[in-house]
Amino acid sequence: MSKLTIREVCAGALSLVGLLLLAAPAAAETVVLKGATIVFSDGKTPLKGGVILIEDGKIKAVGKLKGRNPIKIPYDAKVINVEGKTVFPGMVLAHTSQGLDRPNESVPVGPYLDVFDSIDPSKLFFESSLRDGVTSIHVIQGNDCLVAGLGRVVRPFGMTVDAMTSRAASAIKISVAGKRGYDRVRQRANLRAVFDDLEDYLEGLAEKRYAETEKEAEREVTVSPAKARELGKKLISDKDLDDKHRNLYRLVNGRLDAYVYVDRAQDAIFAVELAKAHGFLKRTTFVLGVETFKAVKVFQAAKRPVILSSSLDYRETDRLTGEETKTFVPKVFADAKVRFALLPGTQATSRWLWYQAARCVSEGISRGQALSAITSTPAELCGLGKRAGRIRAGYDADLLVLSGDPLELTTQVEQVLVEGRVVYDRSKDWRLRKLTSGVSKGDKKADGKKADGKKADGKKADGKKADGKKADGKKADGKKADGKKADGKGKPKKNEGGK
Amino acid sequence: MASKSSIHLAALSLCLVGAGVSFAQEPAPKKDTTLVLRGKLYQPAQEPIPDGGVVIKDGKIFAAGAWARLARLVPKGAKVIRVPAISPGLIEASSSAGTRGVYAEQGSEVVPELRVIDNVNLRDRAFDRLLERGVTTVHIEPDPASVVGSQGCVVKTAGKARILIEAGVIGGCLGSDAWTRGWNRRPFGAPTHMTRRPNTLMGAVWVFREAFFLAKQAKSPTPAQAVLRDVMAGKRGLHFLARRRGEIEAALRVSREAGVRIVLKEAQEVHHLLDIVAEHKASVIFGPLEDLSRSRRRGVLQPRLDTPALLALSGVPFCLTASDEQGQDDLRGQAMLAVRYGLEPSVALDAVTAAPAAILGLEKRIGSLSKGFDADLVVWSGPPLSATSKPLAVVIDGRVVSGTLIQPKPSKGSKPAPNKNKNPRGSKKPTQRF
Repeated sequence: MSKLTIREVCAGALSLVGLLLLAAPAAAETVVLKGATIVFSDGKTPLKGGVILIEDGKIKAVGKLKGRNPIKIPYDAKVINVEGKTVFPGMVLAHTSQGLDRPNESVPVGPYLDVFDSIDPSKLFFESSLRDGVTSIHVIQGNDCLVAGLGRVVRPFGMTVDAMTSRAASAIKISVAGKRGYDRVRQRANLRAVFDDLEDYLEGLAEKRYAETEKEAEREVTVSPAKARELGKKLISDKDLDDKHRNLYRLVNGRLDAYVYVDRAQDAIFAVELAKAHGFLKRTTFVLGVETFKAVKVFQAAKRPVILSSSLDYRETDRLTGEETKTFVPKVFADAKVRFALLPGTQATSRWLWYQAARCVSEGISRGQALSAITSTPAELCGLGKRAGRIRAGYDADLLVLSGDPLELTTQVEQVLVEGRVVYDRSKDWRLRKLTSGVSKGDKKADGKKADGKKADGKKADGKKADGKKADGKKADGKKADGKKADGKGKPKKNEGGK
Repeated sequence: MASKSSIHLAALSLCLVGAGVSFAQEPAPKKDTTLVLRGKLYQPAQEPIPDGGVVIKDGKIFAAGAWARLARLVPKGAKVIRVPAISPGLIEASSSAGTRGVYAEQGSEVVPELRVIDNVNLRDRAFDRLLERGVTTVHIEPDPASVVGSQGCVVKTAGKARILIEAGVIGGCLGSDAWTRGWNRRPFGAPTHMTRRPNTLMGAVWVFREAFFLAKQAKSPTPAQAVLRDVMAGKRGLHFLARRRGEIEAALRVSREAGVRIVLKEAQEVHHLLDIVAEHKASVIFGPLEDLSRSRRRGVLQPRLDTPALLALSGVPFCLTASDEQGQDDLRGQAMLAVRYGLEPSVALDAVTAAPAAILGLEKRIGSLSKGFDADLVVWSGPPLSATSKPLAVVIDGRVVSGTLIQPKPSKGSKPAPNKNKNPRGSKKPTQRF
């Protein structure tokens, strides 16, 4: 009991430390996951009794111990037996402003900002993400602005932002939706102005750079200013630019990805045109509002993937007839063959990424499409296309050990591996245990420790409630069994609350 | 005056009920026809029957169970519609559907003589939303802003005869809902002599005590007191909204003083008090389940994820409610959350069908697919409590009132039809099942 209290007191910090201690030692080692059913993100037939060989945090081979191309387990490998479990790639959250101290910077044009300065590794959000099986999180803020700063892909594990980072400067956010207090005219005019300003600045800089180079070579500038600008453009390097323009320059120069937030269908064409005009359409991911699905053809024509709003249903009441229509948004994009990534919702059920994918399946979207919308597609969209979201040789070993199929309601995340290291173990998740103990058969430790558990377990049915309260762990368990027999109703689930 | 308007409203609602046919989105079958469904049958608190079925006659269940036994009961010439999964219609034990926002009667803190039904718009869209998510019956509760609230009603979400209980249990509330609304923060700010009372838990408890004391003492009881006497005599139930531990304890205490058996509503912290609740023989309408990410939303201090499972272990009669949660955390979502956190799926189904029926006193009419019961059922694309399935059609009183029962082409022999193209949206790909 007292142990627990101490843990409670030091909750935030200790949980992270605890997680760190869980991690296997040095990274340079060979790990083998053996015996699991491997579920792939593209929905192809799961591999039963599969083996995953991990070397230095990367997947080296996926296959079986027998048959064609058998995998030989190295003598020094650390073998994790996961028989009866399911292994699935760590899920990828393509777009979030959580994990920051505040979700939005209010500077309208702030391309110099970077979420690096704002990510708080001790946020519970990261712990919950790990618990829910999300291993890559693209943190990018600024839906409520014109040009926001840089995003960053992090893993929900590590003491510092640097340690968490898997891809810095992942993308720059541009919002074509009305910033609060801006109407669309102003928003669009200002956005155009941002790029016009950049052009002016670059021209001036080019001319200046050209003149400087000529001067260094002790030559006179003899060409026209227009020619000087043209020649000077090639001389510009990133360090010549000021902070305000550098990232935008990288964007139009094809060295930075864009996340363009399109809140409503009416903004879609403008968003695509803007990206096209400044040459970054091919590096653009569109982040959509729930109503934007009406402009699905625009994204289809632009051949760009999208990140769907967290709310998958769109309801609309006709202003004239009063009739209500309901649209399941992912289906619209699936039918239009536009690739999409899913975001978690805000409700108790829909805040799980797998749940969103399961809903897609229930509405008739193929399982492969639904699974990739929470793994490989978002991984590609945040620049981890060759690293995350798939179980394939060469990819990072960010893996989930699940108790069953990833879309099944009762499936729990039992272990999470990040770069081949076990960074989450459900049986050691004391927060979860505190909230779910008392039911699980296997969770004896938790029962013994917790007053709540005892009170709930040592009870009624047989009328011995008085002494039940002081029962130790074992006794409480025994009573629970009695209770079960008596009412015959509450058979607890085996996999609840850890092993 | 009040009674006159209530008669008026009742008449209006009867008219609306008369027009209830138009709720059917599909041409309703001819009167008194039979409807035979064959598919996986999910009954509350039972293991699912893989090849089961239901025979419906005249809006009632004629027979339900394993198809092998059911086949001979199917009337000659009746079409057998094959469906993936069947369960009873879901029953929401606590809702404010059709009342549109706050309907707190400000006349008094003690209003048991009022009837919620007089405030309900049976054509409200909220019913359609509940219906499409598989809820066939709702208990519309009095607003929790009164310490002793009005009489709730039980209605179906569609169909012809929608009102099951016109004026049933009364509501009670000692929790913050009763007194924070009493504060009337705007425009007054902190409580003044102008604010409505009570404005503390002890104040609310006193109002409750006084109401029951006066009802007991009265020589010629007022209509309100007559209702409270019914409650004390056990003729009418009392549903207490109590979320926090202290509120639950207070509710149990005052109800014992008044000699009343109560039902606790929402009760997010009930896991602390299961033995006391059992001792008081109270039932629980639990929910909505507070998730890790939002546990502080209602100011509840210590919610737990496995409370439904603990309730099942404790033997306290309970059902689940989504309250007025819509979207994915609806009633079925609550049952799913309960399953994820340790409740058996069959018990979870029971907690949204038969258990709420029993708590509402309708256990002989709805909540299960048994002979003579109302034919209220939901056809699902897969297991009812699976994230990968959804409701395909809802049947109330033997009529399809939401979705469609697409009849597959007649298959040869008695081979069960594959689960194909049951999607009302007409998608070509079969729905995945696990």
